[in-house]
Amino acid sequence: MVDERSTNGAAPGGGSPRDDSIGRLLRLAGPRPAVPQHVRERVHSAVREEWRREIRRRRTHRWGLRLIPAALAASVLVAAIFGGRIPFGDEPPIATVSLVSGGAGTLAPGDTIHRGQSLATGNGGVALTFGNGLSLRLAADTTAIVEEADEVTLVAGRLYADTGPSSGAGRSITVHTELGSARDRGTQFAVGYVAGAMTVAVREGSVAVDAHGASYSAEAGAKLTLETDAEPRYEKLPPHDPSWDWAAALAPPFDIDRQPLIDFLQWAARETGRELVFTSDAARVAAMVNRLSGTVEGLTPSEAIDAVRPTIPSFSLRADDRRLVVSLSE
Amino acid sequence: MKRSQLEEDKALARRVAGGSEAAFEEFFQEYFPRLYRFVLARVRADAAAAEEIVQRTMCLVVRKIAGYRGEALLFTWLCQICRNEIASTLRERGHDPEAEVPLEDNPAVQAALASLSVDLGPEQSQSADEIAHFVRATLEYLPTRYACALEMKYIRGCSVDEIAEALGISSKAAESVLSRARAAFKEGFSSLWDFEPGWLLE
Repeated sequence: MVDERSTNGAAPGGGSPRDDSIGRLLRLAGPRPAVPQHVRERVHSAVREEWRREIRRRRTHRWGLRLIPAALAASVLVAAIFGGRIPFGDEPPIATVSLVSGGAGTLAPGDTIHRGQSLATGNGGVALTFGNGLSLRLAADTTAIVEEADEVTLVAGRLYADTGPSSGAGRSITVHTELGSARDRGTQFAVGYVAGAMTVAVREGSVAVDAHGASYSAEAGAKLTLETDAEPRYEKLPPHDPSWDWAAALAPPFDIDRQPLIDFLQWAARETGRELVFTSDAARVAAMVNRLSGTVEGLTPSEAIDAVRPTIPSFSLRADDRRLVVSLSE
Repeated sequence: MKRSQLEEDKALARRVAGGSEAAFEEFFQEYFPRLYRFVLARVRADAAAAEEIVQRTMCLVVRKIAGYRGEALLFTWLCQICRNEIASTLRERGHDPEAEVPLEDNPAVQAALASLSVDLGPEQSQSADEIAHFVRATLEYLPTRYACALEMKYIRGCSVDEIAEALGISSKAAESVLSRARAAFKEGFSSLWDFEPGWLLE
């Protein structure tokens, strides 16, 4: 798409125009009037706000329709509203359930999620993995609509998204709530919408938030709280804070069998909000060539570290609040 | 080209209605300037009125865009909604909307602009101002990148490389855009005027 601001009212560029009939007509007409930038910005702001209101209104309406069967499923631990049981036509799924915690529900690992599908969790949580590798986790007592592979509406509750390392492959997700929208820039972050307050907690990278017609930014280690009648509030929230534990407990299983140790360590460090540190190049190289065996399925990342540690006697793993330190055993 | 433009318009409208931020930005950047100029020409260059009308139109459009069915180009659809807003605003201000209607709002001319393919009846004698007016109107009905490429080439004298840079495409692609833009402009303008295009559009 062309930005007309780059062509209106500027000085003529170099080169000589071809003197053909179209050229004569255009020169006769002269340049079209430029649109003043301040007008563009004012109208953009007003129209965008109206558009967002309309999108929220339609989503709320759609959610309301979907809520009816949810009431019937209230006693179920994890309920997929329409539970993947209604026909979604031939449209391919956009995500797969990778983990369900808290017991059996109507969703099970391996179930597929389609565009526009609503999910409601009861006492447990559910983790989804998208085709692009995005990990989305819904906490207990959460209702959300998976609008697209990169867009979720959080009706109520808490969710956590891991779009990969900041330097990763450009995955991104936007989370809408009634109060505003949060859009990540390659990160791990959590969004909550409970009792009329929207919270955006950033574990890695940064998140842009649009709410009340204004834009905010939250960086790693911060939690932003937005409420209808209050000023935005920033608080510190370290990446290893216990409040992230629920998300780590829903981390998709990591298959360690025949995988390099370094892959497991990177996964475990990210999932526990720690920085991965090698005390020497030799330790890093050894972690690259050393392969694991067995399984850590069913364990949280912290439990997995403890389970792997005895199987790699040539390494020393030391986890403190901020770092996972890897060295070669003496 | 026309069919694919319609398909592109439908896809864009669907994405905007679906809540895509990127689609909204694409929609706004493409249509706001065109609509603004469309209105400006119809409110005696009253910038404040133009801003108010465009804002009202676009706010209305984003509420209704899920109902766009692709039966006409998106810009044609926007203009139709906009005409109602213009008439309403002019009436509120005590003007006669009929007196403000430019020639290209004649239904036959509208059809020509929308289809860029309909021949009109004979209108042989046109002043330079009228021609200029129709040149600008034709440009507004072209996709923005076409209009910008033509303006850069023929009014500002930019090279193909400069156009390519402004459009964010390769020089070869810019040549292709220019070629398609010329064809679209020629078709659109010719359909509006029954010129013997000997000196205008040979």
